[in-house]
Amino acid sequence: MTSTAARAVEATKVFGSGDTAVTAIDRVSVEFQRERYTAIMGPSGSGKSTLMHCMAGLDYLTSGQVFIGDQNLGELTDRELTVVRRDRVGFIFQAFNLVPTLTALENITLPNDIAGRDPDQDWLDSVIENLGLGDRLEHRPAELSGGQQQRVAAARALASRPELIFADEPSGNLDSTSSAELLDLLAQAVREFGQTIVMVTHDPIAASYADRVIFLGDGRIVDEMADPTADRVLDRIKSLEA
Amino acid sequence: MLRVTLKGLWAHKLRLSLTALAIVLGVGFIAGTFVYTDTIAKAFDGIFEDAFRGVDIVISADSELQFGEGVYLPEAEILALGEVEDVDELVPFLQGLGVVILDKDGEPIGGGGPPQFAFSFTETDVDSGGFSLRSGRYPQGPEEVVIDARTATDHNFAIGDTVFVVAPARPERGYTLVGIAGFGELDNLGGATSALFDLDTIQALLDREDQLTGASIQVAPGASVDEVIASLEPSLPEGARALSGQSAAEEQAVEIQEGLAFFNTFLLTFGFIALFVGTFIIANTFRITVTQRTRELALLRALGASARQVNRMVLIEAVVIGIVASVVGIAAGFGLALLLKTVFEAFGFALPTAAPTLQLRTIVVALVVGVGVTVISAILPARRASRLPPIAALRQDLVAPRRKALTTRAIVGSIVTVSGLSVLFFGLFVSLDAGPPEIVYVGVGAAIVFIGVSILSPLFARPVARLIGWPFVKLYRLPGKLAQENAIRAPRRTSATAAALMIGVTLVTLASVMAASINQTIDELIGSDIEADVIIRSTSEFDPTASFTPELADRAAKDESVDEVSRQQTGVALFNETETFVIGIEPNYPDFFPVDSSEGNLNPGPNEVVIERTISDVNELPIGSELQLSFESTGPTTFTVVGIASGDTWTDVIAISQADWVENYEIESDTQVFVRAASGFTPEEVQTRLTALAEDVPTAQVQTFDELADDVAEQINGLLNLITGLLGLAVIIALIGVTNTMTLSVFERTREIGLLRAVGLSRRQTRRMVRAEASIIAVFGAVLGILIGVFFAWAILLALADQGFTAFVIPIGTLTLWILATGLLGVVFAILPAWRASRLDVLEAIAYE
Ligand SMILES: Nc1ncnc2c1ncn2[C@@H]1O[C@H](COP(=O)(O)OP(=O)(O)O)[C@@H](O)[C@H]1O
Ligand SMILES: [Mg+2]
Repeated sequence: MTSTAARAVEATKVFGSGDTAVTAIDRVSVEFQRERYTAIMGPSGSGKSTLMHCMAGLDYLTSGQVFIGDQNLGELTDRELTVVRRDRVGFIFQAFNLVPTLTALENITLPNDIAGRDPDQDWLDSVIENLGLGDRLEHRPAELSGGQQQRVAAARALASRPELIFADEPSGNLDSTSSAELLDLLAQAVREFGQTIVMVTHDPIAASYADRVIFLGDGRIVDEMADPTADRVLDRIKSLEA
Repeated sequence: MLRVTLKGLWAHKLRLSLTALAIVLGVGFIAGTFVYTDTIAKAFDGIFEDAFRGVDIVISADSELQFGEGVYLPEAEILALGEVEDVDELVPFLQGLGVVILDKDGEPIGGGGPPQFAFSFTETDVDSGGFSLRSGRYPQGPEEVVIDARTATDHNFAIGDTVFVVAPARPERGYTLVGIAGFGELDNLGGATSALFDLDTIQALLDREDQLTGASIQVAPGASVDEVIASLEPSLPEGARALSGQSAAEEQAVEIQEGLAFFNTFLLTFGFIALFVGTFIIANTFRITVTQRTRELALLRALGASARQVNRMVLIEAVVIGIVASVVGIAAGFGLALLLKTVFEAFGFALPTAAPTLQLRTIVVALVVGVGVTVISAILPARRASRLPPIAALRQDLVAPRRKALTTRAIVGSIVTVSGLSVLFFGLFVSLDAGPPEIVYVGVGAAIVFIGVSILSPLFARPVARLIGWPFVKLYRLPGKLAQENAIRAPRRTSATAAALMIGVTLVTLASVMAASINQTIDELIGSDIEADVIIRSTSEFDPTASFTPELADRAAKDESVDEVSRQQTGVALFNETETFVIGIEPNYPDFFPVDSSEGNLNPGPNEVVIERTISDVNELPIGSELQLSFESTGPTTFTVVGIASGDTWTDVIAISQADWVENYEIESDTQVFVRAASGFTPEEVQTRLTALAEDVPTAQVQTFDELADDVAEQINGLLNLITGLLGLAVIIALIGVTNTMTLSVFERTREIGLLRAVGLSRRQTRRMVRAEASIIAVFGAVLGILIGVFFAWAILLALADQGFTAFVIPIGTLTLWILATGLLGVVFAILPAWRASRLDVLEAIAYE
């Protein structure tokens, strides 16, 4: 077993064809370490989401390879890919994370439900307790605040203990307090439970929670930084834009 | 996953119930039909059990002919059976048809449908025929009659009144009403009138002295019925048979069930049409809801739900809806059974009923059909759902609605439509010896055409919706314009909703065009060819063999207003093993019904027959060939074909001489008398004079040919109204589809409507916008339906052309009315969604995600 949770090799994704072709990511090679918290930054349209989708098996590459562990996703059928997403990967999206007709608790256990497995009750209890959602479990998403909704989404991702959690601007829609709560929670998952997280963000403060930041620009990796702080990240962005 | 499905269903109860409603109505109609006919069957079973209670053995003559006169047995030989060992009691009976009871104004009762019976009614322990006295006493002697309770109550007859009765060959005569009888618990027999006499009296009335229809036997206590039957058999007269009372009851019940099966199929057809329409509605609803749930379904995919799980989720949803709807449908079936009963009673078919019967078969059929239809409708939407890329959860804006390339749609649609047409035309123009009957091909072909057209219709939805929307733009301005744009923007939804309506409208149009064309054909026939001015015929409209005394023709012939008369008798015989109408004609018949072309001699002599050209061609019967007709009372007889005629009024004619008629039929009275006016008299004058002459024969009516045409038209229109009424169900289901689509589309456009409201669109304008869109969709469906309906009618009439259906009339007025009515109904069925749209909270709508 390597210490690499996921990696991309010369990953390229082109949308459209001919005149309207857009190269969203261009020969990106990157590795994400286990039990580490990696942030992907970059200006809007730089290919952050595309890279994440392709690495998570939500979308296909045009060329190059992506691996989850040792598994080359490009070699998998839709069915096998589905199993990878179900069993090995967790997601937190910017919005629309929850099935509106299910309660918070049902949303949290949804991946288990899909797999037809019983959740690990002790683990589930500790995740829920950590998230401070105990009294909101029977509520529907519409009855929860944005911050609570995102915490439910985080709980869902954590509950099935995936090898890797991908988060795409999870705090993008939240006010600063809710945002800080959520980011703390994710950082705590990495520190205390050894969870691996890859998070897309364009917020330097969010990025500062990570162990490492990768900077994308125009579909390529333009820089990276270890043990970021918000100020250093901001400086780096400014210098990259200059 | 099941939980996700069920929760999703529960959260969208409105959507669920709208989808289910289409199924509920369709299944309800089917269940209702079964409940109704099963109930009738059970009632009849009960009647026959009662009728044969206490009857150990029944002696009867059986005939294979439905419209036959009945076979009669010699009285002496039957009575002699009473001497056979272990026969305790033998009650002879006689029954007949066409015995008409007159109401207090002297008008015939009944005749519009159910038969008019006469029975012998003898006081005995052995039940015969199932009548029992309700009040009064049994009829005795030539002056007394008992009638059924329904006729008595409907026409206010009380014991002691004089009741006038007319038999086929007898003028009217008064009898004293001495009793009122019921048939078991029923007041009458399926709407039939019954007059009951003592045996001698009815024998005289029917000209059946020394004849019987049969006898009921009670065996000695302890004797075995089978053994008695065995010992009766050697002494039975020819054509008679002995059956145990139980077998006789079962046989009659089976006969009724066969009759009911036809009725059942007729009604079920409309139920299945309704469900077919329902399929479109449900498929459309599922398609829309799957689209609306794109993100939710894709989220499940992103979280690791397999394509199969998503597919199954939608199908399970369909199964649940199907089950719920079918169960509700079965319950609704009871209500519909009651409605059917009321409707058919209003049309004059009073059938006996018992407590509503719900058979296991009904439940199974309802569930299988209801769930089956829902699941089949959901197959394509489910597949679409399962093919959603998980990425759609995240980039809804970027996932363009998957649209089949226009060319693919055009090709697939055309192939389906053309295959449907091929099957349809095959059914219409190719006659088959084996396999399913032609009508099945026609039906299946039409169904395939509907599917094909519905695939094609989005291709022309845009221009058509633009055109239909135009008046609304003129009328409502902005809301009209928005409605038009909305209809155009979602061509698939517009046309899928319209397609459901198209089916009902097609069938209604088909019926209207057929009716108008047939009326026209009849008008032409009666107007041009026939060299008669007046017809005398029976008042029993539905019985072609109903006859009246021949005296009438004699009287007419002597009248100064009459130039010439020609008498016709109509009866049935077996020809090629099928029951076929045979007429007896006078030598002057061809003068009244001119021929286009003929061969040989049109005036048949003894053992000679004249036939129509088509019959000759189909059966390969040239002049000089032999043909066998098997009569009820005289058995098979061979005739030589001496003449072949063709002409519009000669359709299906097999004519024998009146001498041969008298030889082979018991009833010698006339079924039709054709009268030509003497010069100087108008048809109306002749009619007036002959009506006066026929005053004492209330079972005969004198009509001009114009009146006859009107009468026939009225019958056709009655049938048309019934069929249109039954098709109304399919139209209503389609209109529910409009409600459904508009509700979903209002829901989908919540934001947009909120925005429009925010910038100043009034509630009223919002409602108008929704209603106008519904109207555009409905009219689109109506226009499609009318076009296809006219085309189907044209094809069917083309196929029937050689049977004399030459006219093709498009009732433009009626069809225009249909388009307008459908547009209006579209508005009515959009009231609810329009109201919802206008009540949206503007702020909430804009914030709506
Ligand atoms: N489905 C798609 N079709 C066409 N272009 C796309 C699609 N998804 C993303 N893109 C384009 O690819 C580029 C990168 O997009 P994205 O990965 O969403 O950037 P980011 O997440 O960094 O804002 C952008 O130019 C975007 O317009
Ligand atoms: Mg992005």
